[in-house]
Amino acid sequence: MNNYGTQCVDTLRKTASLLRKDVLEMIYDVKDGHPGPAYSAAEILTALYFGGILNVRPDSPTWEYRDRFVLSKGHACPLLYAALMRRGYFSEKEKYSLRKINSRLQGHPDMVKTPGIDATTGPLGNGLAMGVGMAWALKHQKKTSRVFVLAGDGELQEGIVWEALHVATKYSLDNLYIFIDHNKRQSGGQVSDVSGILPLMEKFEAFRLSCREIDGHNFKEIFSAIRESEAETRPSVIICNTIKGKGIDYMEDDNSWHKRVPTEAEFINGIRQLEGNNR
Amino acid sequence: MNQKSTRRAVTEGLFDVIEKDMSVVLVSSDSVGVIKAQDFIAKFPSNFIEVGISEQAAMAISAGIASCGMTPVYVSYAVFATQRACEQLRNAVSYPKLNVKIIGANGGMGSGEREGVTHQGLEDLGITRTIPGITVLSPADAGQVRQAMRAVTEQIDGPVYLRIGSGRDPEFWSEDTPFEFGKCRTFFDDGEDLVIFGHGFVLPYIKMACRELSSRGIKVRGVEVATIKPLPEKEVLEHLGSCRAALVVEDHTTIGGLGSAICETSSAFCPRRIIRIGLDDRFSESGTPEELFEKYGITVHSIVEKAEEALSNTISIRS
Repeated sequence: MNNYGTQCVDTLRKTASLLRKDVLEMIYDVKDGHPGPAYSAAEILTALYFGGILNVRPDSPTWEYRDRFVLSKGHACPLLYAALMRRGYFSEKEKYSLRKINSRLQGHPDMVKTPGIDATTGPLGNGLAMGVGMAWALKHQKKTSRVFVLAGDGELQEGIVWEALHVATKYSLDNLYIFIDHNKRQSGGQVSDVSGILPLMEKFEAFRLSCREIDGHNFKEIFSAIRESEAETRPSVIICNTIKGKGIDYMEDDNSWHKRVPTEAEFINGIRQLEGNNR
Repeated sequence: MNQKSTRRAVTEGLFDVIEKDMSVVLVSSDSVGVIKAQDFIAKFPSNFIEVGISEQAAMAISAGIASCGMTPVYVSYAVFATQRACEQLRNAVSYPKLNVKIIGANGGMGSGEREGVTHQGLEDLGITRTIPGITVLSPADAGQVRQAMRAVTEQIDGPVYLRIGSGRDPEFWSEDTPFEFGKCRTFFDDGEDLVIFGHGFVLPYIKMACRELSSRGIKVRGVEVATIKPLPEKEVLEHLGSCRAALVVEDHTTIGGLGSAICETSSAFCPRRIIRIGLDDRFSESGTPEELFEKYGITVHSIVEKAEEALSNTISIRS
């Protein structure tokens, strides 16, 4: 088991570009959404859903022995919808229903409406705490299922994150893997300007979590970090250094793309860039 | 008046419930002592999670546990469970209809007593009632709480808020009286001038007031409404329809609780003069329950006075 990372990195890169393209098309169509925060996490989600990490069954989304994935930074959900769609949880026809009335693809992840979503998230910090509850329950039930959480770096300013982490440590939830999408930007600007949350590593270490820091756009580093974390008897945190808006040059590190809709010219340009990567 | 702890009744209820359902898990934010659950934990150590003093995480962790098919029972003070963790209660628990049972201690000023206003749940019912999908219960006494624990785990698949007291709670019903989810229950029935609705630990005061009113020749009916939401609307309307006026007495602010719920139903379907007796849009303070009820106007005397006022106003309006 767990021989992930054997997939061709080129294939995964193409998948990540495909997901980014889906995200841009969805946001451009509905004229609303958060492209920047989705793009920084594209390789992490690609590794999870297409790199063989998540043990899930798209034809049975609530299979009780599945691994759980919690997108705690819920505003990046168009990326998750793209991943679920490409894994076959729902058809491509639903793609353009994002944020529209009567849609299963809500503005933030919705475990009631959307197949494949394990937690209703978006209110920052809650997803991570729910992930801790899941990891505790799955251990209690003696299941081997694991819980993967993706949280933002800005999100770490929420007190509930640290409340939940001391619980994760106390119960040695070694079935819990927390990715931090460390793109260093949040809605209001640079994380370092908005708050005093940085540096991160020392804080997680002080909470007695197993910590690693990697390039969050490098598949090999993502897979190695997970393999190393699996050997731990503690909950793991993987700090992924990322670039907000990664994948389209005009978005990269331009924080206005935290929530912004591309113009027609920007859309065409963006799709061209992503298709270029997809060749 | 005999007293029995509604807090300990939660633990007794947990013992009852776990006999049939091992998926029950007690979630504590350093609140084991609140319900004196040490013996439950000793007997079922793996059906217990202590998250420390962190109510928001406790609520969201409960949601996560419930999402894996277990039934978390999260115990805290009413004010912290419903206000500090309110957003988690709404978004993490209630919207996804997760099967989390929330127990709020010190519900009301009489139950919060000497702790003072910071530890008294004065708005808990109003807050939980406004969130879609939560069942909101305020059982009358310890016997009712113990039985309600079984009802909420066996009969309700979804979030429940259950209000309990201080541990020095008056007994109202005989111990073998069943808890009836979703129903009104008449405890005094002398006629059809006035109906007095109430719930929780003020029911003994209402009963005494009913006796006094009856001795003054007023035909009065006392009705317990322990299911605040969903309100047993049909029964409430039947009572309203058969009486000329109503009072609602509760240890809660007069905004948002049972009084508001009954007024909302009444105004749409059966308009009646309804006077709400409770904390009148203000905070309380430390003191004994008796002193607090006296100072803030939840007394036999005030109920009698308002009852007469309600009826006289009704008559004067009609003439």
